[in-house]
Amino acid sequence: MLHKQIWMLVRHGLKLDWASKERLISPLLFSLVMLTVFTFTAGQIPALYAKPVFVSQTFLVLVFALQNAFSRILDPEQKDQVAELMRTYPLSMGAWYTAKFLLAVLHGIWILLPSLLVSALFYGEYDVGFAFYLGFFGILLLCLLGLASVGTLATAMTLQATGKDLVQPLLYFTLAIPLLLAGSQASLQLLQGQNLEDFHHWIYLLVGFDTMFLTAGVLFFGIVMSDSSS
Amino acid sequence: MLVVDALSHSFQRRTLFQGLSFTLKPGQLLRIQGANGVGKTTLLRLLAGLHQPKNGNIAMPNSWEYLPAEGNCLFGTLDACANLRFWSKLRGVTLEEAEIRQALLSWKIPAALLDLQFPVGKMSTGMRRRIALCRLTLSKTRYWLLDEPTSGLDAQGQAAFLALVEDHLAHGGAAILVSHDEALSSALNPTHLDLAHYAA
Repeated sequence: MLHKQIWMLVRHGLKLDWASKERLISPLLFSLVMLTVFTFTAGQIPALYAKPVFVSQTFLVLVFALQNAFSRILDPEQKDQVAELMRTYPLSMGAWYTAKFLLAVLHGIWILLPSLLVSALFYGEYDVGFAFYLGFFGILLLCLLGLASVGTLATAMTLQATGKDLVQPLLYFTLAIPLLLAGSQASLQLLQGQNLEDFHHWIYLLVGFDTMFLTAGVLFFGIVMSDSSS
Repeated sequence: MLVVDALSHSFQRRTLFQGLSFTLKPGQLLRIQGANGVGKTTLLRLLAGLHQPKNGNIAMPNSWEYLPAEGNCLFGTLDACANLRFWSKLRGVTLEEAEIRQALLSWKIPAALLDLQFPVGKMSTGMRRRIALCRLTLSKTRYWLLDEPTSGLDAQGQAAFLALVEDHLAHGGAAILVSHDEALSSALNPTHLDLAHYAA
């Protein structure tokens, strides 16, 4: 029953995204434009710094683009009292959160893949290596899971908050700090050619963070939504 | 049967009503009356589970549907059929496309708009209200909580609403109605409940 509700809500969310399109295109364009601007303003970077700059630039742009995407993840339900009616239906709050989390992850991958591709094109001359891109994508994916769970929860928590445009990013970026530190450290060590055993503690931190916030989201989304809609 | 027992509720330290008790039986229409701000909408929201009462008990039947006053609860970028399909699926019911279409046509939603998959956000206020009322029909629930259900409806829409409620009651359904439309309410011959009598 639960998985049916999740699947139904995800399909419905994708339909809504396709119908409005702007929610999909805007963060992606933001990410691509920022990557282009960063690369062209930085110009030719000494090879020693090029790789760390590539990692930090990719992280920076993605985190802002994802914040843009996640802050609007509950937009369709917020209008015309849709969220309120949903709360009166036999709908599991955990299923609702999980569906929104999965949609946020899909949004994230939609931004992540083209951005990484563009970054790779810009930094092609520095011989970063395909193996690194593969590992880097895995680390970014782990970060994305955490950011999506935090982003969805933070958006729900601030749905009716006064000055939510200020409160939501404040909450999101503050909670995202451990993820960004762990993600960037793991990526840099991967870039330096170190083995997974050398930076596994950062990976464990990412997995722990993802698990913690996903569990918190499933458990508290109902409470958060009832407070937000009251 | 819907049972409300010794219900009290306050909003921002102001007691709206206290000691409110009533029952709603199949075939019954109950109209909640009272001036603006007396707590009519709040009472419906309490019954719908959107607020927690300060005191008292509410026993709701399993099958009910809520229609709020300020919104139609529709996704503006989707067409009418997609909206109604979503709500029925959320209730765990899969409706045939033909059944949804027929229900919409009976509410005088133009077939051309349905064929074009016209987004409901671009429809008029009255049309959107008709789609929301169509959701009531398709919900096949026994108990309805209706907050100003005819707002934005033209004379034809109001007549259709009257026929809908009469048919619902005749088939063993029940409804709680909040409406300032005296003509409409008296046409339905409801039981009255004046919230002013329960004010603190």
